[in-house]
Amino acid sequence: MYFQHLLLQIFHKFGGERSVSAGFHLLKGKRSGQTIQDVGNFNLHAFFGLTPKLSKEKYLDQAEQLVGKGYATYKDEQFFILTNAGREKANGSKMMQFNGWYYRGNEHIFFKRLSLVIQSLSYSVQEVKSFAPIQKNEDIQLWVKHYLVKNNYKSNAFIQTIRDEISDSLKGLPVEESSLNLLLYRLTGFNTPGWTWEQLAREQESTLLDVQLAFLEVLHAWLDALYKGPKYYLSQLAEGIRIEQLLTESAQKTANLFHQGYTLEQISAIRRLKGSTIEDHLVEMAMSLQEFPLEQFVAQQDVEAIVYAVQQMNSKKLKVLRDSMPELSYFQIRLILAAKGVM
Amino acid sequence: MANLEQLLEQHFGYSTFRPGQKEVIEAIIEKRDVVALLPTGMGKSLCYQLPGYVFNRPVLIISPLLSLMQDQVEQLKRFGEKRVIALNSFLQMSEKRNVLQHLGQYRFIFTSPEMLKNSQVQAAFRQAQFALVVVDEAHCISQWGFDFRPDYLKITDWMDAVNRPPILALSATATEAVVKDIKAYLHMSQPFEYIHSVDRVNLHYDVVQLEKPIEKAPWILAHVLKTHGPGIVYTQSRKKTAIYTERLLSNGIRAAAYHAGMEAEDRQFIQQQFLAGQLEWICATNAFGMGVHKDNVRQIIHDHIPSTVANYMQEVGRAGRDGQDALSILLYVQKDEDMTKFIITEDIPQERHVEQYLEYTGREENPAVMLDMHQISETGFRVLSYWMQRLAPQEVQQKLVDIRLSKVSQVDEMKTMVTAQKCIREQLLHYFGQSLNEKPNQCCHYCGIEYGVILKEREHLETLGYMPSWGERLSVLLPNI
Ligand SMILES: Nc1ncnc2c1ncn2[C@@H]1O[C@H](COP(=O)(O)OP(=O)(O)OP(=O)(O)O)[C@@H](O)[C@H]1O
Ligand SMILES: [Mg+2]
Ligand SMILES: [Zn+2]
Repeated sequence: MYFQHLLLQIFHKFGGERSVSAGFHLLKGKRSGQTIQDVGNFNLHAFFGLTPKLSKEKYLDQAEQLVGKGYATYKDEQFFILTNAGREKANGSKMMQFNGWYYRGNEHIFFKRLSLVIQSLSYSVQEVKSFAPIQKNEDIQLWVKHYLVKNNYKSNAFIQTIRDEISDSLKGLPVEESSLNLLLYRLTGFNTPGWTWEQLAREQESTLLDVQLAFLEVLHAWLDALYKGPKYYLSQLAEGIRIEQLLTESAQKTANLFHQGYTLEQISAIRRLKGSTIEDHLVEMAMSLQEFPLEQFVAQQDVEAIVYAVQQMNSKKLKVLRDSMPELSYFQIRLILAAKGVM
Repeated sequence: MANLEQLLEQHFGYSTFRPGQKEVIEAIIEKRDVVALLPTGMGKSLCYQLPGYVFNRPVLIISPLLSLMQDQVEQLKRFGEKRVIALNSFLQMSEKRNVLQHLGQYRFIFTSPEMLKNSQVQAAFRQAQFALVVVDEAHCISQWGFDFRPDYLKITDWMDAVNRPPILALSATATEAVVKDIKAYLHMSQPFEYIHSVDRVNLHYDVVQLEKPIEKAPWILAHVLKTHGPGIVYTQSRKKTAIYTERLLSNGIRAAAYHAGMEAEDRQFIQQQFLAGQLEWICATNAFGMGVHKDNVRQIIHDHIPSTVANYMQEVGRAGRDGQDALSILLYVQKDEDMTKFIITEDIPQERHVEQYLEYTGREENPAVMLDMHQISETGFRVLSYWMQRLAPQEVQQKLVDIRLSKVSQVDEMKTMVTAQKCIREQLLHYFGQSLNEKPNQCCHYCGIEYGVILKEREHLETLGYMPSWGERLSVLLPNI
């Protein structure tokens, strides 16, 4: 059910202009020009790369179920669109708190640190010196060791403060209580073993996929909250988790040259890449970088005109927009859509 | 030299040696090669752990499984040992180099047969002047062992033939043929042998014959509802672990599945829950067992014929480590052995694989392409390429036939033990070339067995369902002090 809600929200945003596969690529976090552009055009940052291991079969099966329930339908084989019932359902449900674009799997590193910290504290409180660490990765182990020593982990103040920080910050999150339970039951400690996904799914009468997604949602919401309103000990665990480097590697190289003042033609020559590739990079930059100088490429009134056209025609199809503003190039329209993704 | 009992007390907190430990340790101190066969859970590790505190050179331990290695490192750390390291493929290059340059600073160094192929590792090891080289689970060496590991045959290649440290080979389950292989492959010279009786007097063996496979699950359920755990149901497929678990859970029994396909964290949670007494039953593939130290397991149920008698011994050996009575039940339906045979021979290369291999090498292509083309399994390729590099193709064909026959006949031995109208205990001992002195009461299904005498009735436990809220759980994990 949870996953189907997720699909409804995604395809609501796609507005009937993408195929069923576009949602799959988005959830897998495919790093192709098309998917990255979709993220910007349809403002789908939240959902990028949420389920990197999802199989296509499973995905299609869920999409099929939406069709079966009358929430969605295929149009001309190419498009997957929500029905009225589907749109109502999507509008009626609570906005999910994902933020895939900025975490990209790093949220699990945050959780691994947390789980080893909690386990260590839980044993240390009971004065049990040694235990089998739940996280086997040596990088995580080293990181946590430093963290604990640095923060004087044996002091009562530390344990009490971190517990209060956890409790306070979780209380404020806009997620279900049952999802917070998932988070705490994936932690383990002295005489308090964690629960497996199977056990949690069974307990909550849910599926593996759904409990794992609900867990992910908590992590994203929590990390967002910790970045907005830092907590002394918890925020340290979130260090380096949010991705600051938002561009693909190649786009970053183009960006560097662009910032040094080279023109698109020069960059294309220097990098020995096709002009259209450099344009793709610019679109990616327009989408990801807040300070992208859109005005260098299009006049302000054209930007407004496109924004207006999108609203009027309720479409982001390039062809439709181009026909309405023939004096703009496809590249310019793409830049506008990317930069103004939030519409 | 320090008194051994003192060292035992000082470093491990035990007051007495278990049978065999002292004899083995004394032989090691005299720099003799040693083969020690001690039943599962008897404390083989101590046989090299304690000498670590006698010598002032490091002890090298070669261990077949990463998880096992991890477990042993953690065990030593729990005893307060800091100078211990696992040298395996998980270590980063720079760390590896660093460790290799400072081998002397460690007391215990664990490594895998695969690592020993590396020439840098070999060179560093030759310099290291180990006090002792330990081969754990040494039955893996034998080509008749349960899992063919060619790398295991070469683990002593780096050693100087004359001027080398003594070798200690440890195993719980080695037949005479396997011991012979161990001694030969490790080039041991007149080793001291400590062979403990494989008999576990507190284990009682039952065989239950059923008519049809579908009767197994209901039988298990009915049995589990009546009798006291904790116990393990061993089955052959991941899917079956899920089916049994579901059945037990929906009848109010605290059960969980365990297999190698689960996430590492989930597997640990299951182990922790089992150790903490929160689970009554685990339905597992043979991935469950090694490194799980739970003393009070009361029952083992097999729903199939294990692939060898040695494997059967390993698995039932999980029960009754506390010395209290424990029951092992094997459910048998005619022709069950066929399934086992199918599973264990599936990976053995066939005639056509030898031909394909030759085609590739004939075209000067890397035969590993067979893997990419999914023409052969990984295990299969390992076996094939090992022998292709050593024998003529004709001989390889023969070798593969031999391996197949040997595996099949090991299954038949297991099956015979189950179906023969004979005492299981006697047969087990006979298999390991030993003989039985005294039969305990409730010996086996042939000698007569009554569950009521061995097992207590099941106590009703609350099902796992109740889930305190996240806030409560947080204060359990981090209580006020
Ligand atoms: N002398 C002793 N006194 C008390 N406990 C001991 C002694 N020696 C070992 N033990 C304990 O017995 C348990 C089993 O030991 P160990 O893991 O070495 O068994 P093992 O023979 O290697 O078993 P396996 O065949 O499963 O590998 C451990 O918990 C160990 O600490
Ligand atoms: Mg052992
Ligand atoms: Zn008997």
